[in-house]
Amino acid sequence: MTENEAIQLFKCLADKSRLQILKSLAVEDMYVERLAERLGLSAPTISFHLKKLSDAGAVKSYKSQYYMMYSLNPAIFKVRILDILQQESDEAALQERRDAEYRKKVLDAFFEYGKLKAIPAQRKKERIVLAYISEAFEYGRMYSEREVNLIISDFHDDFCTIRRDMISEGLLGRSSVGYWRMEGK
Amino acid sequence: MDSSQKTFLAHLEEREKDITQRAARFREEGRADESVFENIRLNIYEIFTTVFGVAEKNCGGDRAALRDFFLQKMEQIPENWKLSFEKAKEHGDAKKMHIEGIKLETAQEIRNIFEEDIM
Repeated sequence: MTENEAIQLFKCLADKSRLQILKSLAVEDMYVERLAERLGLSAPTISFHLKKLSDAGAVKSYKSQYYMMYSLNPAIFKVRILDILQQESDEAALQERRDAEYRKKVLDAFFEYGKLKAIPAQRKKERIVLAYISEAFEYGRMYSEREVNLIISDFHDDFCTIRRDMISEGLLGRSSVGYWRMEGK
Repeated sequence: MDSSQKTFLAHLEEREKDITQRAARFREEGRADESVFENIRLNIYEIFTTVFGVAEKNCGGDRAALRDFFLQKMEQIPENWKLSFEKAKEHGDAKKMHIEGIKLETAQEIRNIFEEDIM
């Protein structure tokens, strides 16, 4: 079930009359007039609700003799709400794209021919710049401080500040043995 | 305004009150769509109350002229609703059909009250 389908279904279910219709259909399949009689609503109102329920995939219809019968669509009610929540949302993908665009914009603004023009004052921007520099380091390899400084100096002269900030941002690890690129950062 | 006209307006007002209360009740009960349908009904009452006011103003004390004017509007105004209803029916648009149906049904209800009170 896509996010939009879930929204349509939840919106559809958030109505007392439609819930009553579903409850009736949970007992047995029914036709419009029977539902209207049972719930004290007019037949056109029942048809209206059934159309919405049908569009949301909550009910199905089939022809039986002269009547159009309506039944619950059990498959849709077996979907776990948790599964819907755990699904990657369209909104998340959109957010990811926006983040990538923003990252590119920051890198374009602060780097020129591979050199960092200035250390960004804003933490969010600095984090993007430092993450980019950290890509020059290999995972699983130990670096001496001299090696770290040399790599950073390819980007900017103030390697001390950048090295310190990369450690505080969790991009580089440090111990008595040396420095390493942190995983998953 | 003669007494039959006053009675007619009082009946319309009474119906409007009932509909307003029903719309509020439906909203409280979580029957949002049906509450909207009641508001559509209310709008139709408001339209024809306004039309009646215009008829009264235009026709002065001429009862026959007022009746003709109002009945003419009662024919003219729902014409588009009838067309919309037919179009919706053609396309199997249950939602639109229901809404246009409510408008037509309400207009007929008002016409019945008018015929009973004024004619």
